[in-house]
Amino acid sequence: MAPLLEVQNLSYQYGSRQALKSLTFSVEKGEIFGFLGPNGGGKTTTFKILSTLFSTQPGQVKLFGMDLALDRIAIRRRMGIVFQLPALDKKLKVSENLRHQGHLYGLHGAELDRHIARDLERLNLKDRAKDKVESLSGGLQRRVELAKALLNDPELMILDEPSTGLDPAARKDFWNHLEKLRQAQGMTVLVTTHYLEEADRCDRLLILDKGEKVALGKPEELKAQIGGEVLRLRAKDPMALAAQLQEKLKVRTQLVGDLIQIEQPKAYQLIAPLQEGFGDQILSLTLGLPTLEDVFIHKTGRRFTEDKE
Amino acid sequence: MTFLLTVYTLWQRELVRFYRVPSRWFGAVGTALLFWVFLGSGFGGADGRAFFFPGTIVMSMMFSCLFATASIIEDRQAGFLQSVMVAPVSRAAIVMGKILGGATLATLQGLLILVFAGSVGATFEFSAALGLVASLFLISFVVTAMGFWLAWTIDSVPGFHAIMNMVLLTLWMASGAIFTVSSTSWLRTFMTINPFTYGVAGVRRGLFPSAAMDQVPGLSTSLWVLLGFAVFFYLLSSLVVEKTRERK
Repeated sequence: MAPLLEVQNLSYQYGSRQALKSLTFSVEKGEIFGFLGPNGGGKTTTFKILSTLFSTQPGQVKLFGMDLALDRIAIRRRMGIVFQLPALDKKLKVSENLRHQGHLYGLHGAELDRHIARDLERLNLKDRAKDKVESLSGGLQRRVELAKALLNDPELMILDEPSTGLDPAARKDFWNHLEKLRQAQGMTVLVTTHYLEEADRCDRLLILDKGEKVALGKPEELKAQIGGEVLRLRAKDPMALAAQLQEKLKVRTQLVGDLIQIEQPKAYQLIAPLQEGFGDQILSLTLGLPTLEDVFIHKTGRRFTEDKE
Repeated sequence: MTFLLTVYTLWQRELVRFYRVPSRWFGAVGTALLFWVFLGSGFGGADGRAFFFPGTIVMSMMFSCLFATASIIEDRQAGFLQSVMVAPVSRAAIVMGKILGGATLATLQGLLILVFAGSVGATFEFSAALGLVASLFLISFVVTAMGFWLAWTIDSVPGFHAIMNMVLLTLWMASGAIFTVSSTSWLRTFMTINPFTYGVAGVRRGLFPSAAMDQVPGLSTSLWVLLGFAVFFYLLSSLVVEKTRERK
């Protein structure tokens, strides 16, 4: 079966700035597919192209077997979209927001009522239907956004940093709902994020940096590429210590900001020699399993949070 | 069908939003009324108030249209319009719904001020009254469509207000609201191509059907010209929405 989404050599340029560089990937039906990367990495541009807000520049995007550049309206009918910034009318009630959304998708009358009742039920919003959106908490507002995007029974849901600004509990709640819906509907989900714990919940991830594909795969696989554990050292003089370690212990070190990072199998075995030989230069030492951030560091030599715009 | 449903739903949203923010309403009507009382009285008592009445109505509606369209900028970047723009509907329907909503509100506001029409010696004549309502609606439509077009082109709220104030106040001043005829030829030409001239004329003719007004365009001329402007600015707005898809 052909993939639900096929992207080939997609590039995008804002004036002279290249926001996406020849991106190629595909997404299968039923996947939760994540786009992970720092701000300015190209996530939002990708989102805007896939959600049909931007037109495609060089490259081809096929969704549901249709060309995104040609069959915009037919594609839109089968998608649900959650924006990073609120897309609810705060002066309107929850049910009124859903009603307008339904009308835009050609739903009306009893059928629309059924859809609204169903989505309010699914997202536990029934008793808030008559409340104005502005009176709801941030977490609840996000759930209404989700209900709104679901109204037209989309086969594909695209979300742009959907849980930005939510506290961890609300974020978890949002994702639980999303996963439940994915299972119940067999829906495909595309989501951009810069939260590592969200990225970990995706089936597959595309890691983006400066508009380019850095890595693509299942989170576990990506982390396994690093092999073993990750040691992080904080030192008085990181540059000098890194050089010494490479020379005397024959380990490959990476300088990440002011941290020295060593990735290797059984990295814990290095702890004793480090302590004995260089204890006076090391301020702190941590050992951990690789995270998706380590994958990013491994591939780019930079931390995730460094180049915030 | 989807076209009508889209127009209807966006139109209805404008009305509900307005209804939920009473201060907007109060501000627009209040400004116009105060303006009318002060300016009209200052320029010559009851006669002055009668003369300034049509212009006052148009000014009040102008503010209403301005507020209705200023919200587009934020609504599009961080609001409800984001999801409208990815819905499977035509851009022309979105533009029509939004403009109709703003125009309806402005018209209702204009009709509300007509409560005072009796006090300025306006006379009722059925066809003139119909023409009056049509003029109110059409000039509102023109201003909202013009605002829509500018709001979509300018992506900053203060920038939009600056430009709209300049444009609207200039057009209003040269509309026959303050003086019906000018001895300067370029100004006369400007007044001839100014949509507000026909809006104010339509209202004036509708309110005072039997008064002699040689210098003011006739009612049916005014309505046709306004209709032309309405179609023009609607098409312009639709075109701009269709063309400017990209924005960071």
